[in-house]
Amino acid sequence: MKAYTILFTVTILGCCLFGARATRAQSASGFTSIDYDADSNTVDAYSETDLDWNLQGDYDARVRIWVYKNGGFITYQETVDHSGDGIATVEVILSGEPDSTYRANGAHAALCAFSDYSNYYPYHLFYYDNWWLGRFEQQNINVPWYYYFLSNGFQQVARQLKPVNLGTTYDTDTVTTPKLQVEMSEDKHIKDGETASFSVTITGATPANSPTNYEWTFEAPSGAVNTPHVAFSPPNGSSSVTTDGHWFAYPDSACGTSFDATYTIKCKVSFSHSKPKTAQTTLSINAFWDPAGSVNPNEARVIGAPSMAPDANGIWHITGMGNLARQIPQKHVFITTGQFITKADAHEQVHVDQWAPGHLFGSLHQPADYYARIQNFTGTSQADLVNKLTVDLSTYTNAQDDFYAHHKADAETEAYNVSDQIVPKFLYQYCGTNQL
Amino acid sequence: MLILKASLPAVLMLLGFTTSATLHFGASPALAKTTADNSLFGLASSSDFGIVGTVSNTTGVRKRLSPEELVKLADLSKALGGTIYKIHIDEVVTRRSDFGKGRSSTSFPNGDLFIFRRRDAPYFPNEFYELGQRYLIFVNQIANQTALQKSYELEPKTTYYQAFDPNQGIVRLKSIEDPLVLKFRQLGQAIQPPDLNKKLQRLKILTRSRDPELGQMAEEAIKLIQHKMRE
Repeated sequence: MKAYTILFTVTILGCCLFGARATRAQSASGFTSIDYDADSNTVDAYSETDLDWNLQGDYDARVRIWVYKNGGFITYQETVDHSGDGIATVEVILSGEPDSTYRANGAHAALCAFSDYSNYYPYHLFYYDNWWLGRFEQQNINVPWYYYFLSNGFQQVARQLKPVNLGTTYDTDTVTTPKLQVEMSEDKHIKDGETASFSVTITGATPANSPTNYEWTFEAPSGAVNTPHVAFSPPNGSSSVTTDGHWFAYPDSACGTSFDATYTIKCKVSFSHSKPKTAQTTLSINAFWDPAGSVNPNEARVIGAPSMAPDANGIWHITGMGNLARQIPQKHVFITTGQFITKADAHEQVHVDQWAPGHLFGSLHQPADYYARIQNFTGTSQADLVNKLTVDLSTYTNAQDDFYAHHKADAETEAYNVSDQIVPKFLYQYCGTNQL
Repeated sequence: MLILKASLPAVLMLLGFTTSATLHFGASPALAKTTADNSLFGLASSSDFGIVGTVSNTTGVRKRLSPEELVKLADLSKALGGTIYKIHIDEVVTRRSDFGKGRSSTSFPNGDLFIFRRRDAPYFPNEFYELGQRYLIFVNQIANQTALQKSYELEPKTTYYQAFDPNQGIVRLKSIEDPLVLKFRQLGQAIQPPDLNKKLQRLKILTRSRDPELGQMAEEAIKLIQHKMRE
């Protein structure tokens, strides 16, 4: 009895021990991870299926991985372990794209290693799923990171499909790469003919995803004329450039175009491992000078003084022309840069030439004319004579000014007739009688 | 002189959309500014008067020099002082006092107004008034008339004016019924009543004008009057 009891007890304990080991050990596990390494700009997606040693031989491990970027599928890989060690791994390495979120889904499966052919109708091939892993297939397991697929133990289960899909794991440690930004320097306002500088600033770039080229371009409004263009120096390849300043005409109208020409300046930055990014700003070029130039008729006058001397009675007389001379106005061109200097200069030169003998104002402020008026003046003192001379010079000068005022419109017409022929023709043209 | 303008309204409208210019006095070149600092309303409200008048006489004026200074005068042209333009007033179209800004004397002996332009003043082509021509001119009284009399041989009892914003504020007219004159005349008449409520009432009517510039001027005048009423 005692021996029987001991045998019974040992048998029960042995069964328990055997059963316990069997229920704990026959299992599979799976996990998935994804990481981003900024230094190498790589996204590393990894998944693995592990079969316990008791399952090895009865099953082969399989793992599949799907990688998504910003919710969109980008790649898939699959690995089956045929070596018998029960471990299937798969790894996907990608170049990270800025401002993107990556996700990896790993699917774990055990492939039934043994099969047989049924001798009975319908005579199909079947597989041995002796650890009944197939029970996971209906559970739709889909969990983050890791799962332990615990078997129920050895059972005689047959199935028609070789792969036993256990479930999926996915990495919750999703990775968002640093946001790559390209910013342009502020908009610039310059005068026609001046230069401007622009630069782009990049944030979020890494040694592994660094800028490889800078492509500078410009845009002008459709319909703009006067050859819109921007010359960049250097043309490409640099994060900083200097531009010229070329005013264009928009709209195409001699008297209705804008004084401001605004270009859109763009810089397309290419990167080693991501799509190019473009930043933009504006370059406004102003061609407005008012006045563009002048020839000031106030400068025109008779200068100097006649020679004078007292006679024996102390009466002062004019004795000669002295240093009386004619002063004519000077040309002032206020446009300092750009396309309209020549035009303004030509216009004002006409005004200067109008004071030359034989021209519109050639007879004004002539010392001889003034001298003819005052040559017989006398004075009781030098001061008295000079007083009379200045009174008359004021009168004479005023008469010259009146003549000028009366012919001012003719003078402008002459000047515009010359300057209007000089390109560009869009600004500083004759546009109405009020200019004359 | 090469200048950028077609007509005053056209230029002001253009400047409003694009950019506006302010002349810089002195030797420095005039550069464009990007803010509008001129307007038709500004001409009317910031000048003592807006007048329509005809140039009836011009007179050369000397600097006032002592006998000692005359004797030392090696260049007679140094005595040239400027020009007086006698403008016979056809009509006063605007008065600054009507906008609630100071007081504008309306006493013009014989209906004449005298503009004095110094010969060495900054040059504005418009300021060469032509004898016999009619102009719309916005004027301000020259500050410190006493000092002016001391420096130049001017009539002691005459008040002298100068053009306000000569680039925009002097417009040669072909007709007294020039559209620009009509515009300012309507504004001037609307704002003329001493009673502020009456001014507002008239200005509000002008805001409905089919002339956008006149409407805009009326809007600005209303703001000014309303501000005045809150003071």
